Amino acid sequence: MNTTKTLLATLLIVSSNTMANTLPTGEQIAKNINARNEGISLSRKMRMVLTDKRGKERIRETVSYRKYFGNEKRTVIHYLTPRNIKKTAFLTFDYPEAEKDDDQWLYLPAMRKVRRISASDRGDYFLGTDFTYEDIKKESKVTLEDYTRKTLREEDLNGNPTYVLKATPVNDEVAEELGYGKVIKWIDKNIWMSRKSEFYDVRGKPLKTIYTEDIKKVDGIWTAHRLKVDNHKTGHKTLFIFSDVIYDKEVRDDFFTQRALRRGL
Amino acid sequence: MIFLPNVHYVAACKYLIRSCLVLTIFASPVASADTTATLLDNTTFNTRIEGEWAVLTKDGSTQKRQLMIEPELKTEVGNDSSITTIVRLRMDEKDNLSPSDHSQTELREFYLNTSIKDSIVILGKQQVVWGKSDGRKVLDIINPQDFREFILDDFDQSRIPLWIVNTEIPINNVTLQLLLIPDQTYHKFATPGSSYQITSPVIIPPGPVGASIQTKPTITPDKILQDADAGFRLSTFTHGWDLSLNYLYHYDDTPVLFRTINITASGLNIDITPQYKRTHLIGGTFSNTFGALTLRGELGYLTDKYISTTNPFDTDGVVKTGELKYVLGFDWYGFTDTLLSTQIFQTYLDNHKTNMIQGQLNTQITFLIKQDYINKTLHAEMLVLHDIDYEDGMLRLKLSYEYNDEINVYAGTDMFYGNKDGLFGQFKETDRFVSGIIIGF
Repeated sequence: MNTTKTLLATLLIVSSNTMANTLPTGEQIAKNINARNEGISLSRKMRMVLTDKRGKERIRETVSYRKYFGNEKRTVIHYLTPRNIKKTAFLTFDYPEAEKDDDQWLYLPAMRKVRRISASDRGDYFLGTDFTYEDIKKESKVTLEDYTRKTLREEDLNGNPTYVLKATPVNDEVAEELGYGKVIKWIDKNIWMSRKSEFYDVRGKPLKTIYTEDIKKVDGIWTAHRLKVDNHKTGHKTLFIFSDVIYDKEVRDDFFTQRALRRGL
Repeated sequence: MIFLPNVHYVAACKYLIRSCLVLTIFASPVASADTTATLLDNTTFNTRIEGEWAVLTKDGSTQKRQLMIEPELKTEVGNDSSITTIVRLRMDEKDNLSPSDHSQTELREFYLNTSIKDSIVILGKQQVVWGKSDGRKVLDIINPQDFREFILDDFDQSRIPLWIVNTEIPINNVTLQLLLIPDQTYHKFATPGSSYQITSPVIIPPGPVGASIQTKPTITPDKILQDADAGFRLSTFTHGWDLSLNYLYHYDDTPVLFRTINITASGLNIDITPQYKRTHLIGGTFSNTFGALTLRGELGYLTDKYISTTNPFDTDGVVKTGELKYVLGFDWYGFTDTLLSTQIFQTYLDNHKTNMIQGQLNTQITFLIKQDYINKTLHAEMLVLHDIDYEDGMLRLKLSYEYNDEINVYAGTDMFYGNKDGLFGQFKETDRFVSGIIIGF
């Protein structure tokens, strides 16, 4: 009897060690996420549906472009509707060097000026959505330096095999800056995209959940066509619906200039 | 009761107005149905309607009850060109801001925006904005300003659009902007007897006691090309810095008040002849971010500024001087959804003489707090402008709420304080509460 117990215990330890060994580390998963092909350039339309806790909707239509200049990623978003936000445009230069602050500009049509804005407000919510400036800038990628990551388990999420990853800001300062105390992500094992992310505030309370949906290949690149955010604190919801997604069509370099922000589309 | 338009009603109105405007502006008797249909398909129409009500705090009387409608039409022409038309209709039920001008109908902007290779060409009536400062102007002097409401209107609303040939040419990492402005339109000051008529001796020199003062007709440049303003801006982004170098050869938008003194048997007669004078403006701007802080600034030097003097022995009543202006601004984004901003603004006259109505050095500071709430639908703002030398200033508080995508409501207050001879203090009797609604579709 004792021999059987010992054998069972040994088997359990061995199998659990084996499982742990087969799980990739959090850092490996993050690197795989960042290595995912995004194309050199991208153009797309986006419909934003912002819904408050009473169900009142605000809808924005945008056109955006993104292009890599070497390892530097430049993104521009132009608002087309509604009237009160039309012609607003946002430009960001995302540098690969961790120590180098990104550069950001916002064109506000009411001022008719391009305003330089600090990139350290990355935890601020982007123009009334439930995405922060950092969320918008990174899209489906992650900043390696901001978090330490641990792979918790494998899990089937709505028929998709995922790794469940826990990301914790490297220190309190970064946590305050990002507005997150912890993030749990469900990363699709096959395509290295997050299908669901749960965000917790710096006090550990549930903050918001981002669902990545309608993922399909465009020009050979896995592409999310719906991003949905439920903000658990405010009851506010944000839905981004992407259309007319085109990769590696010629996107002119001068789209990513202050001149282009002022001129609009 | 607030009128809340429903979505279908708004859409139907938009289509109807858009069709009428397109037909009015572009369609000719010989235009084919196909051409008209194409124009309609390539045209977007937006309208901004603003109703504003201002009440004076001193007696509760209505200072302003105004309705402003601004339809905007944009027609795409070809692949990379568009024509924008903005019209303004303004009606004010009260007489206080412009007693002789109850209503205004104006072609506000009308321009072709096109590109030639990599260059942008914008031809027509438009606004061109230079500079980095808020609330005060150093380089933002391409367009003159309507001071009907002093500086309380948004600059976007109070700038007077001009007919301009505006070209932006990229040259490697630099953009060269060239401007030719054959439009001789200047600042529009509040009319005599209106709420914001300028009386401050800092701007208008006081005449000697007992003198008879006559103002002669203003001498205004009138030759389209010879009197045109022209300028350029070189701008670039390098090593984290946004930099620009600006130059403008132009007529100062404020006329110089030349004075002639005649001593006659009936006493002292003073003739004031306002005349617009040319000057060179050279300056530049910079901005960069350092963590949560954005540093921005602009500097401008006017070579030929004429300042009135109260010296009775001065032959023409003005002293020519160079004027250096600069503003240094700090924007702090360290708190969530909050902007804290402060600016120091200084003016220095390099040929200052005793009895000039302005001091050699004038310093103003501004302080702005903006906060957003409820997913940026509710905005709170406080702006203070303070003149250190004249010990006067202005406080603005504003709360605005986006009810939905079409409707924005706001309420606030504009308060002036300090020395009655100061630029701001002269309006301390016009403190007011303001409320309004903006409908945009």
